[in-house]
Amino acid sequence: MKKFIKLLIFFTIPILIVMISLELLLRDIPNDYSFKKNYLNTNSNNIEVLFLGSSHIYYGINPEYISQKSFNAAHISQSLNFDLAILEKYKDRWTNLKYIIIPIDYFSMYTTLEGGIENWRVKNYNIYYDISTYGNYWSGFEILNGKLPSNISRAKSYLFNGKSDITCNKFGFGTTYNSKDSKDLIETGKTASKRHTTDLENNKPIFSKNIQTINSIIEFANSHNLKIIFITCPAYSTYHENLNPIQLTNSVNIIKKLSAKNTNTVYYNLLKDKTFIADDYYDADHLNEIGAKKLTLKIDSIINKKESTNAQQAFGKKAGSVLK
Amino acid sequence: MLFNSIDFAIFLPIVFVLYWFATNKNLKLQNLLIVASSYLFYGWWDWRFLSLILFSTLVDYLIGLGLLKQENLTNRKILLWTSILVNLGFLGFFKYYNFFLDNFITAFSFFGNEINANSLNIILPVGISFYTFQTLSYSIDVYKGKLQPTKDFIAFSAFVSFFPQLVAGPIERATHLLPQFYKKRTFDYSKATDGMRQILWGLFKKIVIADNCAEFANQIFNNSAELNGSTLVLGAILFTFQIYGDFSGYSDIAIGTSRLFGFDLMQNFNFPYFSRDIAEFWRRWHISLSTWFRDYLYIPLGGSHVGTLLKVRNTFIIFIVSGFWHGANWTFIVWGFLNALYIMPSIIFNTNRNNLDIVAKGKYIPNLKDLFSILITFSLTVFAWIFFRAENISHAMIYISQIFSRSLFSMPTIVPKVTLILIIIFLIIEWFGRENQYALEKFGLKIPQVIRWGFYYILVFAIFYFAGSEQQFIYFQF
Repeated sequence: MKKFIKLLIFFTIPILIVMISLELLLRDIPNDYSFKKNYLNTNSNNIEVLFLGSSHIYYGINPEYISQKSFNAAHISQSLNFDLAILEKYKDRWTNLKYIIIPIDYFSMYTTLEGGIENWRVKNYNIYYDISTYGNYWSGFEILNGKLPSNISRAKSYLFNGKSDITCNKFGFGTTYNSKDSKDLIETGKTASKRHTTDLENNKPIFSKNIQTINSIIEFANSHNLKIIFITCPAYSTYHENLNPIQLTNSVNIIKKLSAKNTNTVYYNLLKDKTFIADDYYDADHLNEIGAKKLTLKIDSIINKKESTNAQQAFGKKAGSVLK
Repeated sequence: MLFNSIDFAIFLPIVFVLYWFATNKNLKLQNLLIVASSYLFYGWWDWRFLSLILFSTLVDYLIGLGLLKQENLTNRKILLWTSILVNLGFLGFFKYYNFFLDNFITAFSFFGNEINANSLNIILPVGISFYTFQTLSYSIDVYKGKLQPTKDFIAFSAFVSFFPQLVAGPIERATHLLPQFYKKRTFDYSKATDGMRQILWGLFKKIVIADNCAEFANQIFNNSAELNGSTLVLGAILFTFQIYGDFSGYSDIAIGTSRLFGFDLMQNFNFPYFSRDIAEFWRRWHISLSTWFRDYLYIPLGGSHVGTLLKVRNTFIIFIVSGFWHGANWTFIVWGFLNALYIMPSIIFNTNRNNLDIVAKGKYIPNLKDLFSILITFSLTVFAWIFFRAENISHAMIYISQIFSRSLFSMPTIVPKVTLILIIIFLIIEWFGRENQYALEKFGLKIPQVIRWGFYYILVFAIFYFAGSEQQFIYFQF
C-alpha cells in the first residue's frame, strides 16, 4: 500500500508542478479584465459615463468620442448579471457617475454568461475582478477553463515576446475588429442569428432572472441618482432579418415596459438604424472602428441632449424658486 | 459526479484513503463507506433521486428476505413479480411515460379520435436503467435459487449503489458482485496499479477520442441537411468512435476504480470494432447488457434450444427490447431491429459462433479475409449507428438518403485532421492490445519503469492537450 501511494505521489508531483506553474504564469499575463479592473480601481470616481455589456458594446463604443469622461467596461459575452456585479463592486466609488449605458440585444434577455457556451469566461471575473458570485468553484482557475494548446501559446507569447492579452485601447474599446479584416456579412448574419436564437420555452427562467437583474440595475441607479440608457445595438440586415420575431419582440417589449415605468431610464432601439451601412460593420452583428465612431457619437449626442434638458429643468426650477 | 471532472479527482483519493486507512479494514465499515460515498457521488448530480435508489434497494432487499422464508411457489411468484413490477414501473414512468403517451395520442388521432393529454415534464434519473436491471438480476437469481438472499442490508445497498458502476454500468450480476461485499478485502498492489492504468486509458478514450469526435459528429448531425454525402459518412464514422470511446472509456474507469477498492467488475467491451461478424460484435459490445438479456430474456424464451422460427423470433425480441432499453425513441427500436436483421443469417445458418477466438491471434496484421470481414462488420455497425444518433426516424432517413446521393463522391467539407490522426493512433494501440482485457493491460510491463512512465506522461499530456470540449457521457441519458 505504502509503495503504491508513494509511486502515485511521485507520478503526480511533476504534473502538479507544471499545472501550478502554468496557472501562475497565465495569471501574470495582462488581459482586458485585469486592465479594466485596475482602471476602475483607480478611476471609477472620475467616470461620468459608463458603458457595460457584451461584445456589441466592447467593439461598438469608443469612449474617446464621448464629451464626458467615460469608460467602456464591456467584455465579450458579458451578461446582465455581470453588468450588475461590476456596478455593485464599485458602488461606493461612482461619485461622478451620471450615465450607465447597457445594451439589450436580441440575446440579452435569454442568456447568462455562466449558462452559455462562453461560460469559460466566468473565470476572468473570479480571478481578475474578484467577482465570485457566479459559476462553480472550479471557475476560478485559468488552466481549468481554457484549452491547453491556447494556454501554452499565450504563455509562450508572453514569456518570449512579452505579448499581453489586452485587446482594447485605454478607454476599454476593443480594437481588433478592424474594417480591413471585415467578414462576409451574409454568412455571419446567418450564423450569428442562428447562434443567438434560443429555445424560448426552455429559457423562460433565464428571461425572468434577467428581468430581476434589470430591476436591480434600475434600483441601483435610482439609489445612486444615475440615469440608464438602454440600447439595442445596430446590426446588419442579414442578421436582423434572420431573427426569431417572437424572441426579438419579447426582448424589446420588456425593456420598453421597464424603461417606461422608471423616470431614470430611457430606451433606444438602433437595431435597424439605417445610418449604419455595410462599411460600418466588421461582421453582421459587430461594428468596426468606423461604425463604432458613429455609434459613439450618436450616444454622445443623446447624452448631450439629456444634459441640456436637465440643465434647462434645473434652471427652470431655480428660476421658479427665485420668483416665488 | 462525472468521472472526467475535478470533483471526482478529489473525491476518489479521499474515499480511497478513508477506505483503506480509516476503516481499519473492517468489512462492515468499508461497505458502509461505499454506500455513503456512492450516495454522495450520485447526489452530486441530483440528490432528489437518491430516494429512488433507496426505495429500489429496500424493495429488492425485502423481497429477497421474503423469498428466503417463502416456499409456496405462488407466493414466491408474487414476490418476484412485485420486484419486476416495481423496478420496471419506475423505469416505465421515468423513461417511457411520455413516449407511450405521445404515441397513443398520435395513434388515436390517426383514427380520427383526439385525446387531450399533456406529457409530463419528467427528468430521467441518471443510471436508472442500469441499477434497476442490477437489482432485478438479484431478485430473479434468488427466485431461481441461484443465489442465497442476503440479510446484510449494508452489503446489499453497497451492491446496488456501488459508485464506480452505478450510473452507466457494467450491469453486474448479483451472483458475481454481491459475494465480493461479504469477503474481506486486502490491498493488492498489482491490482491497484492495473486499475490506475485502466482509469488512465479510460480517460484517454473519453476525453481525447470521444469528446473530439463528438464535436464534429454533433456539428455534422446537426447540420446534415446542408452537408454532402461524404461528410455525412464521416459524421457517422466519427459518431461510431465517439460512442465507443465514451462508453468503453466509462467502463474502463469504472472497472479501474473498482480495482482500487479490491473489486472485480466484468469486462464490458472487448475490442468490438475488430469483430468479423455481427454475432461476434454483440459478444464484444456492452457485454454486461447483452448477457443480461441473454440470461433473463433470451434463455427464458427458449434461447437457441428451439426451432429456427422461434430462434428468429427470440432474436428479434431481444434486439428490439435492447434497442428500447436505450431510450424512448423509435430510432433506438429501429437500431435494435436493424441489428437483429444483421445477425439473422448467422442465426438461421447457425454460424453465430464461428468467430469465438481473437482475430489474428499472435500476429501483427490480420489476413485479407479477416480484414475484409472486419471492414464489412464495421460498415454495417456505422450504418446502424446513424439511427442511434439521429433525432428521429425522419432525420435518420434524410441523413441516409443524403449519403446515397451523388455528393457521396465529392470531398468532405469537414475534415477534422487532428481527430482522424488521434483515431488512427488509438486504433493502433487498441489493435496491439486486443488480446488483453483492455489495450494497456500489459503494455510495457517488461520495459524499464522510466520508459513506461514516460508513456503514461505522454498519455496524461495528450488528455490535457487534445481534450475536446466536455461532453456528458452518452449512456447517462439511458
